[in-house]
Amino acid sequence: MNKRIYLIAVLLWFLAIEAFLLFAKRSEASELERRKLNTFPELTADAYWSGDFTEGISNWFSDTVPMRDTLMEQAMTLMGAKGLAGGSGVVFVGVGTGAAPAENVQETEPAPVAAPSGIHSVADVWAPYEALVDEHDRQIAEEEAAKAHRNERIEKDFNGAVDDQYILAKNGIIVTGSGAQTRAMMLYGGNKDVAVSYAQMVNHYKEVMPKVNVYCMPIPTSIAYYCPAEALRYTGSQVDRINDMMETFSDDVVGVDIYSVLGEHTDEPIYSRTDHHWAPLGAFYAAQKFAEEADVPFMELSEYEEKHINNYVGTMYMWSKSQQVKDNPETFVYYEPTSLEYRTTYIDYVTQNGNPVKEEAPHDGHFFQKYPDGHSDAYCTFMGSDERITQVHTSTMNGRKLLVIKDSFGNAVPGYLFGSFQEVHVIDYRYFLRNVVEYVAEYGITDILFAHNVSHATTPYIVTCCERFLTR
Amino acid sequence: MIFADLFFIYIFLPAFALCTMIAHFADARDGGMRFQNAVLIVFSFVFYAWGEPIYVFLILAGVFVDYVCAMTGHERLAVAFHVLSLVVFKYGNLILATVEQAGGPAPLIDIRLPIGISFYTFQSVTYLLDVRRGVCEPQRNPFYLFLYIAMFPQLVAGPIVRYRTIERQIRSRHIRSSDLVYGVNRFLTGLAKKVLLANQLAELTAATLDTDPQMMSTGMAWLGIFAFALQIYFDFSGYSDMAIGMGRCMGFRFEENFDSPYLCASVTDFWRRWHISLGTFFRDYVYIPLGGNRVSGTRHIFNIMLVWLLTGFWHGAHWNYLLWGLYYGLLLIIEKYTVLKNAEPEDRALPARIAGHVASLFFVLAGWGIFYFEDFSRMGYFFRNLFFGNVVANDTLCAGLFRQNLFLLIVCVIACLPKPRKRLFSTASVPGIIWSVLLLTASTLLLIGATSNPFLYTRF
Repeated sequence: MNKRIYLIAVLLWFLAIEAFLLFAKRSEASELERRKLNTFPELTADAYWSGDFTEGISNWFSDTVPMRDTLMEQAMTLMGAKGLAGGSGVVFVGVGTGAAPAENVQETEPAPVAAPSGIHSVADVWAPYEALVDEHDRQIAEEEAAKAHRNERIEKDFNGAVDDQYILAKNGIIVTGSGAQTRAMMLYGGNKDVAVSYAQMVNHYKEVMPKVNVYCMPIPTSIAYYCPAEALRYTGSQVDRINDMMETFSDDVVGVDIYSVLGEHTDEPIYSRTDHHWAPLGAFYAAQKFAEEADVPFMELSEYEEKHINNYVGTMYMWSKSQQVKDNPETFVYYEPTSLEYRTTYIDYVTQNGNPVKEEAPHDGHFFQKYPDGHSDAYCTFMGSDERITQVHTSTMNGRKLLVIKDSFGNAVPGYLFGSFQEVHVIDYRYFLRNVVEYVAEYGITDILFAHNVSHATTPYIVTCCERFLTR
Repeated sequence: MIFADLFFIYIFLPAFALCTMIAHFADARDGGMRFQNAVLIVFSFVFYAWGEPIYVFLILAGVFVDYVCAMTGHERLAVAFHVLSLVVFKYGNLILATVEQAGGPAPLIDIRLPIGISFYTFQSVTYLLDVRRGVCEPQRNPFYLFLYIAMFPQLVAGPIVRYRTIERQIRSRHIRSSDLVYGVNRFLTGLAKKVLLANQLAELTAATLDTDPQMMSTGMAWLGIFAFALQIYFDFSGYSDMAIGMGRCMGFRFEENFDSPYLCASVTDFWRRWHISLGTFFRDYVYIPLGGNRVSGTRHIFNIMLVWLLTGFWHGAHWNYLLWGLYYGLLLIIEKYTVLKNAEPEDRALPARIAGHVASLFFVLAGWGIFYFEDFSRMGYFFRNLFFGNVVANDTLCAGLFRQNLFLLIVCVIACLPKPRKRLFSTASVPGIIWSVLLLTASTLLLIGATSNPFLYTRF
């Protein structure tokens, strides 16, 4: 065969891909990664000379490829061929690496690891190893500080979804089980100091607003209950961190300990198998415990209409890139109150690069969003987004008005409290531009509930954000 | 801009190819290369300015100095300029940090490393020293000198091309269809090495070597360093393949930079096969001018250690690279004065050759351990785990990672072997076409959404 035919054939295929990349409609958002894709960068002198503009063009072109999600699924299938499937064993993804499974997070530099003092020279390396061991505690502390700094720096830069990705990436993911028992979970790694800081931040709210009831409900992630024995050494103890918080809460702050409550229901679908969130049923048991602590009425599950979104595969597929997770979808079951009247008002945020910059005008909407079967955003059923303030006026006229300060785990809780509070306000710790004290005064809030998952609750960034709400 | 990037492959390269084609027809009238070289100069400028808008002035200044000094016989002055710029821009931060650690004033500036400075600086030095030695004439056209220094295929990560090897090609070159076939095939091979192998190995390397030192088992340490050895080979040789392939499509013939290095029979042999253009640079411009091996034994040892100290330090502004260079200097001296004193490896009996190969690989792998860890405490933990235990009875993570990457590792080991004499898939066959199309498609797929996957050697 003439070699020119090779040239023509490869060139034609190249041009076909080229035409597709240039002329097909570019993607704007990724359902798979739950994020808006890069936009074409703005040309400024600073952006040009720093290289951000040109780098932004390259990133935009790569990020907004037509049919991105479909092609990325094919890429993940391809990557899955690099080894043997997990079978019934445990598959680890990014465990202990600090490396992210998500592309955007890959751009960030690994945390600098501080050397123990005195180890600067070549000769020191060959000193007896015991000398290094002696420094171990100190080094770990320095590493934790470096990680904490990294947390703060990186989480500032990304929106909510990527923030969750970062938490996942930091500690790694494991995929366990097989078939319909497949479960993907993020490993946990939080330290005591940050847990105590978080609890102190909650105490501070009570000090600043003594007349308001303050509750804090740290939400365990699934690894706290479903970690197989062989992976225990790679994950930290969430119950220890929850206990650290409970011991730190002042007497007039109510710690809502749901660890044991959820532990009684682990044979029920209280956590998603394919998503990093819990399941609405888990949130129900948690809300029940909270209502008990807050001494408010609470509606039983029978008073809700059960709704299903079938063939649901959540975030863990994208982040673990595990075909096993994709091949074993689950049913997302949520509960919508039917015997209550309520009105939901949203105040959306305009965001730039994932950061809120201003509020839009309030508008009414549905608290429970509708998603078709197979949609990977099923967990967004509750309020649809983190980037908004939600205000629900209910027909429960008991004078109690609740403000939930939450992360995405907390989204699943408010829907069970419409029969418990006259008003339920929901704000996300990553998207709130007001002063929380003024907000509480303006709306006559009587109760504040902190509802964050334990992974988030043991990062310094959340403490910084929530403290800032008190003073801005 | 990097080669393994959708923007480069599908925007920059086609635009360059189109302009070159037009220039080719324009040049056909007088048989020269003026328009094609102009296109190459403009695109090389854009290529570098894309990633380094500020530092494009540094490279221009370097070319200006080279041009003036070579024309006026002040080559040493220009060499000093390049050494100084390398010290300032590459080692400035290290010097400032060392001063601070020694109790000096805290550094006020953070110097960003200009991409490719180690490579284009060395190209300038080879040009200047060759002119000084009379090996070649000074280039009278400053644009052509810029073309030699900053030609985009080999600008940021080599190979380090000697001026005398492409002097004629700058002025006159012919591009045959066989060159295009070879170049395209080589480019796609390099792209696949980088995207399909090196980038995937990078995940395994990170999952093993970046883990908590207390968590790293002996198995993890060996798996990790094995993965890194493969990663850096496919990353760097992939880049070289792409550079050589693009060069061939433009009519340039760059020399090979790798020759199946992991098949080496000795550590000395490894360095004859790994980053050949760097090894020959130090041999021709440092080692031989120092006297090479035609000096006393002590001086010979000094020459070797100096060359390897420089080789190590060239790789990065951290002390571990210095240690890495000294490690190889020591190994090479031991080899020269013991096992290689009387016979080259290929002259030995088969068992001795096999033993030599295994021992070489062991030392090369250990060397990558020094290379990988810039932090000495982590390096210490790593070598403890590698040699002295931390054996975990039920090492689930290591077993899982090995299992998850088994096929990748097998493919990589096979790909380290030398090319068979008879190509598996000839470019003049249907399987050859399908193979190239598959490589392009798979590489493109894996580049989607990949916003950053720089070549390891671009940071040197």
